Amino acid sequence: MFKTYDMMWQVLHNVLDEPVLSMKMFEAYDGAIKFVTDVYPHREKEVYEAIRDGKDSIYNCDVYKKWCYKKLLELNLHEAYDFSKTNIVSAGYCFYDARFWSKLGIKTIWLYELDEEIRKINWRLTDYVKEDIKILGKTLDCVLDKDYLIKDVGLHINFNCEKYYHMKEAIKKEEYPSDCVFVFCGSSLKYKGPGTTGNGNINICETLDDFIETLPSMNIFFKDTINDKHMVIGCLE
Amino acid sequence: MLRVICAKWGNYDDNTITQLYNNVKEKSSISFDFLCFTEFSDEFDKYQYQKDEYDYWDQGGLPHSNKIQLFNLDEKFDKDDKVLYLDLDVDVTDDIAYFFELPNDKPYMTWNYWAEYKPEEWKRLYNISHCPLYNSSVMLWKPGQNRSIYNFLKKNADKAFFTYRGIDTFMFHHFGPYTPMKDHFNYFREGVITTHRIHGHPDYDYEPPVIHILEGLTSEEKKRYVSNRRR
Repeated sequence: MFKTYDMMWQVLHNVLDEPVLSMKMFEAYDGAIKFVTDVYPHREKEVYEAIRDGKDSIYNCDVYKKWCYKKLLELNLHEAYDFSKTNIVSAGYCFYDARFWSKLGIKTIWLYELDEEIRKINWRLTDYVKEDIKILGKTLDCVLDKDYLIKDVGLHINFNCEKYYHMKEAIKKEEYPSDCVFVFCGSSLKYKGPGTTGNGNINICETLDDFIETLPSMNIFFKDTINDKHMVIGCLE
Repeated sequence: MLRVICAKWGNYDDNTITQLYNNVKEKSSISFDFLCFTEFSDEFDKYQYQKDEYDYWDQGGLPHSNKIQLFNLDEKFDKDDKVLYLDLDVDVTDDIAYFFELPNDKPYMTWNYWAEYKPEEWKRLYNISHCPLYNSSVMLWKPGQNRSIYNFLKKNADKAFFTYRGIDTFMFHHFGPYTPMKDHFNYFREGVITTHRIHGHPDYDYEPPVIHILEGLTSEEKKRYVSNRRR
């Protein structure tokens, strides 16, 4: 169900580098949009725009998620560590993400969101990898409800630390495997009211160093900032 | 014993309490005990302003957290009592015996059914200060049934006060229907509680509720509404 030529072009542009998955992605997209239209019509515009432009007002821009996935691949961390079991907090809409999950060797993934609907929509958007990746998840706040997070994982990503209390209070070394790789993304993007981005950003950090202060003590493999977004990759120390 | 309780802090004057008591008494066909809590522990004070730069769009502070202290202060009551909490700015329009007759296997929260008619609005609000599906203006519980909420807040005070700008949002996200504690609450059926914000519109046709919440009115409007309330 491509509503505009522009939309079809955008999806094609994003999936044609994956010939094996392309047809499955088209089908997943079609099924997801039908589901959203029928069940969550108030989400239709948001999902549509997230897939077309890779942006939405609350969650992630795809450019930052790709930055994370590509950096993990570039650093070859998926070769050195076992990412078969992975947590992702606040992934937003994951239509394009699942391609990277496969490349990272993920076999089971837990998606955590504050928003129940995002999770259900993601089941459809990631349908094209369902034969290879088991997708699970919970609706929770990853800090206040940290007891309900799966701890036995090899990779733990939080794409939106700015929406939560300090990660150093939620991630404790003794609770995770010693070789678990952590990716924390945060930002300096302060919310400026309706119609602007940054909705729900309660823990913004102006600088990368400020951001690192909010994280658990880490052996850092990579850290950088692009635009407003900070990213830190490492293991707990 | 049905315990009707309220809580007073801030700018409400004592007349408001008397008005609420008279309002409940007038509408009740059963005996009840009325108590207004005015003294609260300062245990959470230090968390309320922990953020250096606070602005409207930021979250945190958890105003009205005194209401959650009631979940601990209820220990003074008998375990078989029923506690009906009312905000001071509600209008009791029908017999509160309704609440006494409800099954008490779980505590009750007011579900804002009216907000569900505009999902595109409230579902956008998951991550900001207000999540309008829970409304703590009217709650019903047996002593101890909500102690876990108080204990959870006490254990996580720094995080909860940092994150939430409303106790309704806090409770929705941690004891609501999509959370790990999803079975905590029962909900009053639709129509038992109404809100002036929606149902006060002159063109809005609805069955009289048991309790009408006067949210959406200014303090002066509430005073006028209460003094002119239907008899």
